[in-house]
Amino acid sequence: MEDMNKIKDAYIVPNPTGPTVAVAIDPELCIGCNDCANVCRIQTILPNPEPGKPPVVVYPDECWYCGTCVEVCRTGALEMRFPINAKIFFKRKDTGEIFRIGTQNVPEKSYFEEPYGWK
Amino acid sequence: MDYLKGISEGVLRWPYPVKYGQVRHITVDVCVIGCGTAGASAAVAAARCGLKVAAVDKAPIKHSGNAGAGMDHWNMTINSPSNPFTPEEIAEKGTFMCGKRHGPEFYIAMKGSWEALMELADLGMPIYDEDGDFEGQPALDEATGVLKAFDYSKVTTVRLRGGQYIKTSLFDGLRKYGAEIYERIMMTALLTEGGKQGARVVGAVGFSLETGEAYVFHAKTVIIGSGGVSSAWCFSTEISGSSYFWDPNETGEGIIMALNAGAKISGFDGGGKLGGRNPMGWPNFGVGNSGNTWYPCTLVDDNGKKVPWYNKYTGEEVKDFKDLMFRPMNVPPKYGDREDCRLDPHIPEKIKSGEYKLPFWADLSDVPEAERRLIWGVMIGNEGKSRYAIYDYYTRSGFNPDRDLLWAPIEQPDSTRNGPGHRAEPGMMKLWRSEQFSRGDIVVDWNLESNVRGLYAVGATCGMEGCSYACSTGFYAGNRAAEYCREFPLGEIDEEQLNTELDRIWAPVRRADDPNAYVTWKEMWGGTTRVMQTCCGEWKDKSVLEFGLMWLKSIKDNEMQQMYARNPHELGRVLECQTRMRSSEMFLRSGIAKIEKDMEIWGSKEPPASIPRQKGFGAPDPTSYDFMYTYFENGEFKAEFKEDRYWLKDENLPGYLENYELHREKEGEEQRKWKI
Repeated sequence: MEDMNKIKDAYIVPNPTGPTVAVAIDPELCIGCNDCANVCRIQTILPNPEPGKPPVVVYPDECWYCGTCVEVCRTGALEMRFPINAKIFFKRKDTGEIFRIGTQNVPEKSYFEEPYGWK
Repeated sequence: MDYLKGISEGVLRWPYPVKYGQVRHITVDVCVIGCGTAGASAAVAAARCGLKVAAVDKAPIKHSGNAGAGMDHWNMTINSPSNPFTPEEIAEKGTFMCGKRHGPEFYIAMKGSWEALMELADLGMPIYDEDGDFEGQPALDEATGVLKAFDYSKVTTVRLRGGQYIKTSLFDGLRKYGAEIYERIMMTALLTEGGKQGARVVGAVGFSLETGEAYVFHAKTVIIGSGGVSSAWCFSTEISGSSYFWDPNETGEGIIMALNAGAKISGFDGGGKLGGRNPMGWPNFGVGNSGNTWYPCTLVDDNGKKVPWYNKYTGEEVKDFKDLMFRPMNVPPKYGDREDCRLDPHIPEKIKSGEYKLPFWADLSDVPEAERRLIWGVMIGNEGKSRYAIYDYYTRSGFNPDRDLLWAPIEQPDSTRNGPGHRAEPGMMKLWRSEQFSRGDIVVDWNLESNVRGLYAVGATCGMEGCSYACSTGFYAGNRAAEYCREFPLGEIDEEQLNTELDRIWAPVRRADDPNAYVTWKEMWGGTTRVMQTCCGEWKDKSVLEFGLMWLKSIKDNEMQQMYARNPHELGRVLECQTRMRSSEMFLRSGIAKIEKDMEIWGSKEPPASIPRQKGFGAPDPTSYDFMYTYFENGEFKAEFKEDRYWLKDENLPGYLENYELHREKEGEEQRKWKI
């Protein structure tokens, strides 16, 4: 409770967009090349007006979640943040346990093979 | 205060130089508007004929359009060496493709499908089983090296081993043949000789979504590949783009600019049906199901009870997996009905009686290993928008296709008749309507040219949705446009027509600081969809459609004049709303025209017509027409009614192949080097 007492400020701000982060950019890994902004079909990602700085995710509510920004990123700095409606269930056949995609409680990754035609 | 969770420190300056009021003129032979799979194919074909080609797109072309993030099936490869049918016999039988059995484009799309695939392979798209992953498997066609789908007895549908790269391969083709690339340019109007509606095309105008600068293309021909109208019925500020089936850039500018230029458009009379894709659904192919991309995955209920398969032709239960992938030799392939077997037809009753317990789950582990790798690795690994949103994300979340079951959305029992999860949408959302297969398409002749000279349409823009049809119509139209360019000189742009359009383009920017201009593009989109949701459903009544037109006009005269744009991106969205307004009007006007025609035929005693009333679409006789085309002539709305197979009558030759060959007669040495 004491930590709550320390918060003294609140702000008048516009409502957030539907999904507020469609794709997260790791500023440590980003080299500011703007490849992701330059491939985005919808201008969800725009270059940072300050050259060299990470691009900005301006219109997350318009993202089509095509993932091509992740595909073109050379340093692996981008991660999609899929919306709640995309996170469905799967069930482990032998145990009957139910998991939901993209949540904390998922089984350890045991399968990843490059899809066919991978370049 | 970082109110946008990580992106803002207050308001950021627009990252591109702002050039409103500036006009750039570009002179080319061919201007291709919308360079998705169809447009890019057309641009490649025209460019390799040595023409000066502008490839224009709202988005970066490497990954633009509906197939910009992949594609899994290649349809109707009737010309493949491993198929016993000919495109001519299938066209004669009137097989449906894309919801239509319609016109020369239907035959041209099918005729060139296999050759277009070979062109794509030459441009670098992986289609063969190069690493021998499926050696000895029934899916592999030994003769051609491609992977088959649905029917292993012949090659009528191909699984694209590297469909993720369809657009990057076409992009490489554009570079290779020297097409000029114009990205993030939103085209808004065609320019016609003397500025007259219906006169030949002399160019097109648009603007940059980065700088706001106007782009004027002076061109002998324009090829439109920007697709049909989307989302005239559906909009919600709270659902994300992930739900939308179509590329959000596909809003119908190409159709509307062609309409304004005097081109005839079909398909506007069928909008507002309950069928088709629901944009409120889950990511396509990302839920448990057993059709299309997932065919023929095992489906089990929540107790693990397996849902049996039945052969569609014999009605017998299919127990052996290999019998799920075999179509009798005498049954021709059919788009939209490619699966030979169907699940238990009594699923809804059995859910209600408790025999099946919801939810259902897709059990990939139950199908043979090679088939599992084909569905999960080849198809989901390469299908539109599924590599990252599904393949990568699900497996990183621990989903293992060897041991996990994927959830099929819970639906109302009656919605599961054609297989649970097939539409990937919540069953309770059925009142949301869609435009699939009724999205407006430009009427074309045997050259894929519209009634406006020099204006061509390809792919979904001429009603042929799907990557294979997009490519084959694209290559074909690119060649025909090149031949046109050899004959005709460049036309002159009408200054008045151009200036009127430039005024319209920049008007919302002028209102950016006007306190009375308060209407956002989101509010407008939501507003016009409400009109369509209310006035344009399956049952169509003339007075209701007229009410809808009155409502739209009121919005157009009031709120639409209060829309503003604070940067070129917003400007694009605002102008899309104007396109949507125009297409919504067309859905209503076309409905009215159809009812009037039906009343003329049936007499006033008949009830006001609903759809479908056309011959061959379930309408009883007497009905005197098969197709309705709508267009504008000297600013006046017109409807034209045509009989089936008119494309084989009058000035045309009586056979499909004869017409096709006649229209390829002008091909030069250069063109004959290519496969299509």
